[in-house]
Amino acid sequence: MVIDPYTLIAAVTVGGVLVGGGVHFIPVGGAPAAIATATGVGTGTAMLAAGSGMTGLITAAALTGQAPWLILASGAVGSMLMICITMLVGNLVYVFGVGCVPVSAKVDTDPITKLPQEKFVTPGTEGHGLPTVCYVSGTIGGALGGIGGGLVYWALYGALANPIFTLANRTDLSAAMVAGIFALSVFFVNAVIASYNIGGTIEGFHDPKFKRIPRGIVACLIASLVAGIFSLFLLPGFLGGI
Amino acid sequence: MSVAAGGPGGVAISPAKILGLGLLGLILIYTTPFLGPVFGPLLAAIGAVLAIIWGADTIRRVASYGLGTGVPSIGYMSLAIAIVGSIAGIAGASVLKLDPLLGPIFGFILAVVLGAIVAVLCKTLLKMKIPILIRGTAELSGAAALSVIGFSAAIAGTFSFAPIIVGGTLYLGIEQAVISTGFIALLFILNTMAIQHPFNACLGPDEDQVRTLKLSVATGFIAMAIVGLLSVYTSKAWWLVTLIGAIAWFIAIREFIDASKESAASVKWTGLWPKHEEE
Amino acid sequence: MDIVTGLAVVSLMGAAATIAGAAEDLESDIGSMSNPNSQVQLAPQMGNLHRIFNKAVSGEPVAFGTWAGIAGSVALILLPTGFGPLFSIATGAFIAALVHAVFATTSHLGRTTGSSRFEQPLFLDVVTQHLGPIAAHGFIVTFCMVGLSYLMWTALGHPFPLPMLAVMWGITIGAVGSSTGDVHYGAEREYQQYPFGAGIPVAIHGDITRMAELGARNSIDVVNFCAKYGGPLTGFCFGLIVFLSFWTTIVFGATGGVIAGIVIILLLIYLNLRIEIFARENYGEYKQEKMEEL
Repeated sequence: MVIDPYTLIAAVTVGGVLVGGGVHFIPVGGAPAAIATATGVGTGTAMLAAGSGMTGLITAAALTGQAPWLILASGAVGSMLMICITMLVGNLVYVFGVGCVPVSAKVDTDPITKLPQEKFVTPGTEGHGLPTVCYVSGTIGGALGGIGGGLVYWALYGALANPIFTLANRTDLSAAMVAGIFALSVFFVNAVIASYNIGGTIEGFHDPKFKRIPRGIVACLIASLVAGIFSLFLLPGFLGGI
Repeated sequence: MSVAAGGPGGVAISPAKILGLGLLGLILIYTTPFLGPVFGPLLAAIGAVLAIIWGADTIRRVASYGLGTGVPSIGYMSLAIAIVGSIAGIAGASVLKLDPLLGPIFGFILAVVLGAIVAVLCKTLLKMKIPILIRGTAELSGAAALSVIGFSAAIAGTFSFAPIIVGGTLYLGIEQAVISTGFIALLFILNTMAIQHPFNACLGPDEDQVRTLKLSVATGFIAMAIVGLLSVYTSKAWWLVTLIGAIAWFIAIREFIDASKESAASVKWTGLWPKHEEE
Repeated sequence: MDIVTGLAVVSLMGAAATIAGAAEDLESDIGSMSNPNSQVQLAPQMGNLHRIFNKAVSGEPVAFGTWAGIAGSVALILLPTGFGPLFSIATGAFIAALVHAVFATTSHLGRTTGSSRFEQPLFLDVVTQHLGPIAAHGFIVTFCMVGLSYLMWTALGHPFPLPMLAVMWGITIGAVGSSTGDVHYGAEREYQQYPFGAGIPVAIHGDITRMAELGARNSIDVVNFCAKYGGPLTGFCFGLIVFLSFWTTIVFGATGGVIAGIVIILLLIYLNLRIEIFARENYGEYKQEKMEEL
């Protein structure tokens, strides 16, 4: 598969937007969630997104050289597996370790299961644990992040391993590594931009903060576009070697 | 984190002086190719440590306004920007068939530009209310890029992306020595740690700039000692970088521990906390 | 590679990941790290002085990415020397443990003096007592992490080199640990004087449990408790992640692996729903008088 420079820029941009958009879906409650005062996973947005993104990137890179859709799907599945298992075990801790019901205080009934929420919330808190709507939202977020990371990796690896652009000394290992670290960096930049947009905590797509997603996506789009343009400097055949 | 909000506390050393220190780091990094295979990597590593101190002070100024997601987030964002910028810059200089000497400054500029763009986006689109966000993020990205470039040059012994022979010595180049080996991933996370840790660790209403900077000297030099270990196969100066990093780290950490003991409410070897009268 | 060897490698990776996950969570409990540490930080401000280790070394993902990255890089340097992978990885993990201890000390000193106006004393025996367990658990984590990265790199032929894999798995284990096991520390062990079975209302934030069965509570007492539930569960979580992400591709191939992965995810969503319903049916709604006890 030959990746031309325009495809590369497009892939980095779209990948960045998917990562940034995906982060908005991931239910994180930050420090309050870690002490069962807020709904969501008890860690930082960018952190959980990064953890799932790294798993996705590892599983995507494991299929290096396969068809592009397989790499993207593998990234999505790896990422979703990480976040699903983490949220499930998180809920096990909330239910059996802390003894509270997974419940959200931002909505009256769970939009997916239609279960009532309000009466199960501990008074004085904003909910705790991960009800089904958060869980599904997190799964979607993981999938988007995994596809985004995989897309950046696939495009850059394809461009660098492309014989037209290849430096005499370039090995496949180095192409995978350059693509990997670039994908990782694009992932982190967009994850942090998105987490600034939601102010650190969000419950998922039912949260009122989710309405901020268009602004976050535009910000991620511009930042990733610039990173995509920078990635052209890595391609010997495009700018200089002709 | 809710602890940090409302701007930095007292400033004993002005931002301009710290900026000067960072630029001195850039100059030190630039002397690398001219000083031979022993002192070149050493000065590159010291230049990177100066950049880390610059970054730590910048993060102190920006993050003291409260970012909503904790101090580390801006740390790894700036290092991610730095990795994109510095790889693109150093590779770009090789790819465009320019003098490899242009690589570091090119990488530095790309990182500052990307950092500034991200900060402008955060300020205008995402409406973040931090007055020094743009300048801070741009400086931070530049400092982070210098720390990555400095340590990469210390490992590879050169700025060249591809292998080169200078005066009969074969230098592997940053691509093979730093990127193919995967050390760039360690530089990403290690420099994140070195830059964000000082302020994150000293956070609180009684945080003090000098003490924070002492810690940043310590984290910078411990990173340098580790970088020395990584350059065993690529640099003749690896033991020197590790040794000087370790000695300087020891001095800095002792200073930091003494400063902490002085400023603590009370220091006890053991026992219970004092009883509060007001409750 | 045939399926049997592949499965053996993946099981070994899963086992290493399970140990690493459990040790990671316990390490973050001994040191009081990540999000629950906000309460340890807040306590002196609310007039509750304590003897708990305040280890604010960034978020866990960055911290464990760094330790695993250092161990992986040093191991990569030592591998060609011919001492064998076990020795190389152990030496790498040892150096990472030293760095870990340094960072842990500085953050306890820094955070304690950073809010000295609240009169929290700097107990030096708290530092010395906890450093050993912190570094030791950190060693177990990095050893297992680099070990599983090494297996992936050599046996599974992953295109990323050892340090990169170590950093990425380090970031992942930090994210897992701070999302799962830490809740047991933050929401239960830190607030043990309040009744079991509720979230922590904002009004009692900072009023952490400071006394143990005998004398003042320190973070070793915390870990004694968390080792019974939060730690093992974190290990189970991370082990499952590592195992399942590769088991599917090895057994069902690339395309089949994606389908199997999606089936597993759907099962997990259903399982989560069952847990939610179990909790609702057995615990019931909150009644007002229950909260007045607080």
